[in-house]
Amino acid sequence: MFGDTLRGWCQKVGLLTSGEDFPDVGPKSEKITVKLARTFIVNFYLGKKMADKISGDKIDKTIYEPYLADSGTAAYLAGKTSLIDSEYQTIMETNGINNLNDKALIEAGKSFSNLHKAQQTAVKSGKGKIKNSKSYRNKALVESILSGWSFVAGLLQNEPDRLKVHYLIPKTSAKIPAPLNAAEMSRFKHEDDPVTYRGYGTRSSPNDRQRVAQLFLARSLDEKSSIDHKLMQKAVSQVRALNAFKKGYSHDI
Amino acid sequence: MRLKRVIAMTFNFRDYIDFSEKLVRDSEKTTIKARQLALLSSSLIFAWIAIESFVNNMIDDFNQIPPDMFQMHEKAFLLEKSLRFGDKGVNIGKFIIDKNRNEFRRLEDKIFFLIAKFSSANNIKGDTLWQSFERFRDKRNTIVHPRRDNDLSLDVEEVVTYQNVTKKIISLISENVLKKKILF
Repeated sequence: MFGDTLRGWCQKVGLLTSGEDFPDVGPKSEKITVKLARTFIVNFYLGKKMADKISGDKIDKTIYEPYLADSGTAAYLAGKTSLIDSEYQTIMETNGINNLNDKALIEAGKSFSNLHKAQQTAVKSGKGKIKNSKSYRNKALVESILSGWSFVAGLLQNEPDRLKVHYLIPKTSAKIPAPLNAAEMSRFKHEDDPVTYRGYGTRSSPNDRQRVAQLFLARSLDEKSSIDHKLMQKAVSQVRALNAFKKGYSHDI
Repeated sequence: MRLKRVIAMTFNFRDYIDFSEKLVRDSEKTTIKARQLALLSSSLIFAWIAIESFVNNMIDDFNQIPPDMFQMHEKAFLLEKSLRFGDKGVNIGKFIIDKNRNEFRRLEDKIFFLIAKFSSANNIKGDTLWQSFERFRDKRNTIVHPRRDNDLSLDVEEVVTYQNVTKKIISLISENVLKKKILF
């Protein structure tokens, strides 16, 4: 429906190399898939749309649930009318196909691509005794991480200082050998989490997407902050507290 | 052999409940009465700490969001700091939270605050669960504030009852504040 626009955008921002195509079998690949690329685009614009409604300190008083695009096949098999995710289709049609030439979207894509590559390089280097596993290398491509990151990139479009921090690669150290700190994320568990919880940013559940968006939002407040246990705990606390306000009978925010 | 290295860990309410339950099981393995009583007392204290841990961590959650989401007196309550009227300097004529003056709150008051703030529940003190909680608190006070004239009496059934009170109180808070069931 939109030709090779999406593939071209991925190549332009570095998520695919020049001439490279999306993988046929997503889960086995270490490349961005069509579903993930669509998820990135949709969340960037959903976040941007939200930024037009709220600004300043209200950004930190709201809870966000990044969107997860349907894979074309899943949507088709589920009896939906199109092979394309409806939200993605709406955003592409609303903004026009040239939309993928949007400078802000390209900058977001390049920054995310840099983060993904920095994570891969750090994990492959073996520094800090981090396990060179596919799940650690490709942490940025986990649905909750990618959707949370891109939503926050859109959300901070009117907050240039925070956006700049968001686009910086999170600091690493001897204790945090890779920018996304995948090992610590895997170990993280809140006391309320069910025994089946597999760690921060490892699944695509709405709760995990909320937590990851909050993590990047909290990080954007401080250029020096790393993605460490303390920041993860803070983000989860914020999600829990904001949820209480959202669902409670107290005053609205 | 005496342990020489320092052990540092963070526990949560589930850990404390586990410790409490383990101590009850240990008490059933000994026939020495003083040892049984010591284990049951420790078990009861851990059951109480589980509630403290849950409530304090929940309050810490609320301390992580922008402070102006609460009224100033509420924020002082959450931080367990004193609210005072500034009479000099840049704070003259303003109410300020004095971070150097602690104002510790009772566990019961923290629970009342959280439930009143985030739910429509009222009169929880009239509930039978609360009456059980008060008996639990009184027994805990007997243990941590011992007196020569006060005999300490406990049995397994009573401690297990208080462990259940812990779980019910934690559930009550979670359901009213977070609208979320806690599984034990």
